[in-house]
Amino acid sequence: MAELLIEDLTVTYPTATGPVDVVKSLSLHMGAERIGIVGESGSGKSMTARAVLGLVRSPGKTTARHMVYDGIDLTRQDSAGWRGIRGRRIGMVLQDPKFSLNPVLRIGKQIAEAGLLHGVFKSGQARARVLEMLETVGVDQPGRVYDAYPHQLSGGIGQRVMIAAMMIAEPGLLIADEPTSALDVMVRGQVLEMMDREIRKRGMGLLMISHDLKMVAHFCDRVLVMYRGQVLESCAAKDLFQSQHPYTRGLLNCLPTGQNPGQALPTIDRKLIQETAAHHVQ
Amino acid sequence: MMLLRREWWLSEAPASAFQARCGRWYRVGLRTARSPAMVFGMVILALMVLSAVFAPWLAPSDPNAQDITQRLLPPGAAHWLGTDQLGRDLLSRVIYGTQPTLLIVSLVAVLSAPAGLLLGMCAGYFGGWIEAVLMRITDIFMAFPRLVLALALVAVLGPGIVNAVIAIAITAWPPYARIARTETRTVKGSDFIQAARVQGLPTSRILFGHLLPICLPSTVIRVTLDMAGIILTAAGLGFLGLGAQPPMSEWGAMISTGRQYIFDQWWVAAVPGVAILLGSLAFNLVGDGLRDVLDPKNG
Amino acid sequence: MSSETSLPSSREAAIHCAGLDVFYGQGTARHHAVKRASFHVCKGESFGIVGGSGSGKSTILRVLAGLDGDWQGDVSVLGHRRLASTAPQRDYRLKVQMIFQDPFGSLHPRHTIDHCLTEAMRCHGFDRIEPRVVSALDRVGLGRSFRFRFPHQLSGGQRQRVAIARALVLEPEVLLLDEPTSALDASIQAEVLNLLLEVRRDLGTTFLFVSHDLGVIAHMCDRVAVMRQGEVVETLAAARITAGEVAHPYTRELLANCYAAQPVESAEAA
Repeated sequence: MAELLIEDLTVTYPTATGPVDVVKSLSLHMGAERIGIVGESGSGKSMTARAVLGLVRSPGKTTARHMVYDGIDLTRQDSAGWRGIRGRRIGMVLQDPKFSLNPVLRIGKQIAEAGLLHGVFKSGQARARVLEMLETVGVDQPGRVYDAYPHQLSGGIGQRVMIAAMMIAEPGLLIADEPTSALDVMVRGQVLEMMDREIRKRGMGLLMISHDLKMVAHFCDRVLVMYRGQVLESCAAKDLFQSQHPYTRGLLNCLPTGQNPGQALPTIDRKLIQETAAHHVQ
Repeated sequence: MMLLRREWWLSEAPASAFQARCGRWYRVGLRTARSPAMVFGMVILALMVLSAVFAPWLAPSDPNAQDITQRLLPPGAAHWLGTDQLGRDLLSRVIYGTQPTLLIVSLVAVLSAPAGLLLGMCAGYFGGWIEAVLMRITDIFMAFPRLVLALALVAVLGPGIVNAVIAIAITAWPPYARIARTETRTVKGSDFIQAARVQGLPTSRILFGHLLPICLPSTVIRVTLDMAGIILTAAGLGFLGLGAQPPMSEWGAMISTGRQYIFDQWWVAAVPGVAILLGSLAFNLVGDGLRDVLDPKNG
Repeated sequence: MSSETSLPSSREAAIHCAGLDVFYGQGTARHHAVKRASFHVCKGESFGIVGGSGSGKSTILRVLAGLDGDWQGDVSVLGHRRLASTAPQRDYRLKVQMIFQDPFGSLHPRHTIDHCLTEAMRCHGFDRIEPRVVSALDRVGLGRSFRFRFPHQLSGGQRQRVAIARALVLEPEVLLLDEPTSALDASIQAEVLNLLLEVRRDLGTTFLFVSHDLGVIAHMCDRVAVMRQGEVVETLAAARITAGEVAHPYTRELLANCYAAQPVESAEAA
């Protein structure tokens, strides 16, 4: 079972007022399980995903005491090394399929490209394997979608296509950055269900990044709560709702549910959180 | 004095609309200063403008003073850039040559850019048959080759700077209309335009207060880049004898008369040629730099 | 079909919509975005419209805001009948205002906040503009230091507050809200929703609140219309949604898919 081990990951960006750590000393150890990283914007959750895949561009700098996936040291890879890792060993699914799919290539071609590049199948089998994959991810008319262009697809199908493109290279770890945020609520449920099925079937690991605490709590095994680059809490998903950490409680309580209609929602006292976070570091 | 303190200009929380505007321009200035190419271009432009304005004081001699005994002298101590076939000092003629050049360039810009911008914005905003008609008119004017139309106009109206300006301006405006229309169509659907409509702002307000500031940067960049081409077109017309008339020291006309002496007295044609090169280059560099400086993402 | 709850007939109607059809596009590509929608909003009420993408909920708002013209049906706002052929008049604009979804797109990038707030007032000939701007900024919780900033210097939540201030400065009676908090972080969303509740309490403005989020709708609204692919499938009191007493299968499906509408305590049963 391939494991991801991260110790003390820090991502720093220089700014006009000095260097800023957008991710501070993050540590994580996961195997074939589902980890959710939750936080608001600016918490560093997307940066973490990018750091794992070596996508932090200069002037940003990634440093880590250890960052190893299945024996491969992710801190010492050059572009040739990354080509063999990205897509093949670690896949990434992003929020908006419109921005991740090449608009001038047909879907079938794009998915096949991913498989051919990583040597998963030969060009003769490409079409059959792609159609099979499209059916697996729940696309209704694989033949039609195979020949379609990205702009002709709805959000839900686009996201399924993205997932198909990522899974066809059979990676051991999937990093999903807000995979369902751009989707309709109903479609969201279906796509998550499909992801659940496929990940279990293949024994893959999943690193799910989202701002939606409740969705992550339902879907993942463990959850990391981040705030301004720091991990404030790390716990099992089922314990999340009993969390006593002020920030996590704040995040949970500030969501409107209709239980107290017309009443003011509790909000997060950021000064208190900053102080808690500062103590946490010490 | 507050105005002298840097923090006033860069303040994140301006206390008045004036301060906010100053702050924006200051940041634009800072970004400009970071691009050496643009600074170089602006220095050359500044020199050209100063030469045009202060020509009588800067030029060592009268550009039209002929002295046949001094004709075709190479660059030397008495005449820094040499003399032409009539013994006129080339340095003075080049300095005075900035005048017709800048005059043509600025008149064309002032005439063609606002017209094109207005037409394009209206076409983009109103759509429907208005857009169709305006765009077809644009296409018609765009189809004319600039120099050929200039020749035709000059044949009708006679040669001279003003007619050269008219001829160039008539063919220069269509690209601005096209750019403005595309940008307006894109921006028309944005929420801030919808919000302006919901607030009941009159259409003229939306066009000039909301759409114009969005379309202006691309137009300014395009105009600046076009100026390089306009200089060349004006020089071309001058070369053909259709632009500024002698004895005005327009650079294109200078090259034309210098043609005959190009092998032995190369400086007569080369000096105005280099002036045209520098002028075009300056506009190109500034226009290119403006693209980064005026990027809306930078506010 | 829709199940109307009984309305107190003594309350005046703010918005009345019967058989509204809205179309997009021309010729063969003409899309029937809203099909015979009917609903009724009383003065001072907060009425929600919930649905997925393509349900037509935002389209209805745009028609009421006077932004889209290709519609037919019986629509009257604050007692005056609206006609598709005529653009809304000035006094309509002063009574009906809108707040848009994307805080990053609804403010002009080159206008200061001050310009943004005062422009409409100046065009409509308001008096005492200076105190109005100051009190509008105070009401939405933004300090004086924000007044001459540009939108790119503000966060998403702050921009949305400016959008609310801009809408309120014209003193409207009806506020159309198009997913005003969908693009905001959860904690910022809570702050903005609290602000909206306060505004409604203090000014008695009628809200027409559109969202895809059942939790937000249940929290903010008195009654809700559920839309699906252009049709209103059910209209019910918000409390019934929270209690799970929904009639239409689509509403039930929406409720099941929406984690947010489920209270925190019961989630661990999953």
